[in-house]
Amino acid sequence: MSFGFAVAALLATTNAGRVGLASQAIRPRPPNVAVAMLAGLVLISLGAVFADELLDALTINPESFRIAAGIVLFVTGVRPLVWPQAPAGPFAAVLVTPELACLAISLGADEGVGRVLGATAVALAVAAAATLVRRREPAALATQFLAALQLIVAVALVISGLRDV
Amino acid sequence: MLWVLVALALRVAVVPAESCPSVSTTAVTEAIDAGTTWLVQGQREDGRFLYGYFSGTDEVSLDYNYTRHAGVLDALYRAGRIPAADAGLRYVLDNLIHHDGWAAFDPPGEIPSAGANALLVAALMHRREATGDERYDRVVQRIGRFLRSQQQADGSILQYWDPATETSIPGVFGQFSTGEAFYAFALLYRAFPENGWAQAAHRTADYLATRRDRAEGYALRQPDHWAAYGLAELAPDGLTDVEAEYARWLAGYFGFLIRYESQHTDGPLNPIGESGAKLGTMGEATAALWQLSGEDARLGDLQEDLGDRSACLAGILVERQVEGPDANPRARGAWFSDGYTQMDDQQHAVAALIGSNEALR
Repeated sequence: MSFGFAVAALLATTNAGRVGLASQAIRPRPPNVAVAMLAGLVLISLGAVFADELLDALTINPESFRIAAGIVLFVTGVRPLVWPQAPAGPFAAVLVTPELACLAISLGADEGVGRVLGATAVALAVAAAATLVRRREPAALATQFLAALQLIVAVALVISGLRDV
Repeated sequence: MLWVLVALALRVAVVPAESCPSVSTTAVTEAIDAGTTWLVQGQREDGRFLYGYFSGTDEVSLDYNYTRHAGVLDALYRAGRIPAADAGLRYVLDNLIHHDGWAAFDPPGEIPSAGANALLVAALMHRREATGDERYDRVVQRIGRFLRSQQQADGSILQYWDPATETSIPGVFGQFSTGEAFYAFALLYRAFPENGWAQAAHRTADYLATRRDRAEGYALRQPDHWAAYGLAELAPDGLTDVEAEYARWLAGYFGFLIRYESQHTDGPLNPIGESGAKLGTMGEATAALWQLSGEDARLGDLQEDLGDRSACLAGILVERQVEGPDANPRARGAWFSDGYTQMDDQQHAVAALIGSNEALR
């Protein structure tokens, strides 16, 4: 795994296209956008910071958890690829997803907190920028492309989990 | 609610807790002793061993397999059980065939095979290492020449030589004999560096790493613990990049198997434990690759994880061995799967524990 992979994985899993669709549906005010980004940052930070403790508590090696994270990313990536819609629920929780939590834990255990937070800054900046998009088509297209990237990341995680010691 | 169910399903099916019983070098040494004692106590007057035992019916198996005979000799020499191994070796030496400058083990009812003779080379080389006795140096190199006569230009190893036609049987390869022959070449090279064994070893290593699976019709790349041994043996003099990459692949494969084993055996999805032979081969490969990762800087990043997996497997093996004063004497020291054990269960489990003991230290 590399920093580039972490950026790609977080870009895919935060899915700026989906954030854009949610923003068009709900029309959040800037403070709500800030809360949503902060919620995403907190989720990723907690996952990354406490990854080792969490995996120790579950008695799972990072390599094995990578396989589970890959499965979660794959399952959750199929729907936005086929059906690019705004997610249900409040805009503030648009980034609070199981796949992002699993990815944060997996990356945190493998890459360390610093690199994960660096990659998170890139991903959240793109997600925040997506709230400025006012047309549905580009947001929907971006949702599908990023969902496809999420499937690729998912497969890479599973293969890596199978091939690593 | 849906996500809670998904999380539970993942926990049960994909990431159950990994259970690695803690183990000491003392416990491992005792397990090695008990495992080899099972083999020694079952040895017959002619030097052959008890082949298998069904604990449920208290019956022994009357089968025999001479590749496993050679493998057991190797494990006994490595464990320091020299008299018993020498008794088994006498049976082999009484059944050697000589032809065209080479010698080969030609047991009754079988024809000379690369697998049995490769493991015989390993046994004789470990005997030499354990005793310092060089009396079999000529015969072991003659057996090595048999293996080299079975080697083809692309590095593949023909499995059989037919005494009736006095030729190698074309197009027949063993699942394990290529890796076994590679290991034998590597051991011969370490002891006799001047006799061209290195070229033979690297040629077959390259075949294993790049062509074997497709050439021999395997849909999946084959895990090969004998190849892991061979690579570890060649490491002090340097592996090629292809060999090092192959070693990394093997490390990942066997590491995953041990993680899986530590998660699933005796669990709800896999109530039947793996055999001692299957567990043992995982442990043998992992320990050999752990040793290799200490020699080759390209693989140094794997050493800590390989040490952990090796220790984990040692704990599992010690836990699964039949032990205790009240145990059935015919079962004590053995590893059973579904009520049955056979000589190679003890061979591979003991060999794995010998390797793990190094990693635990």
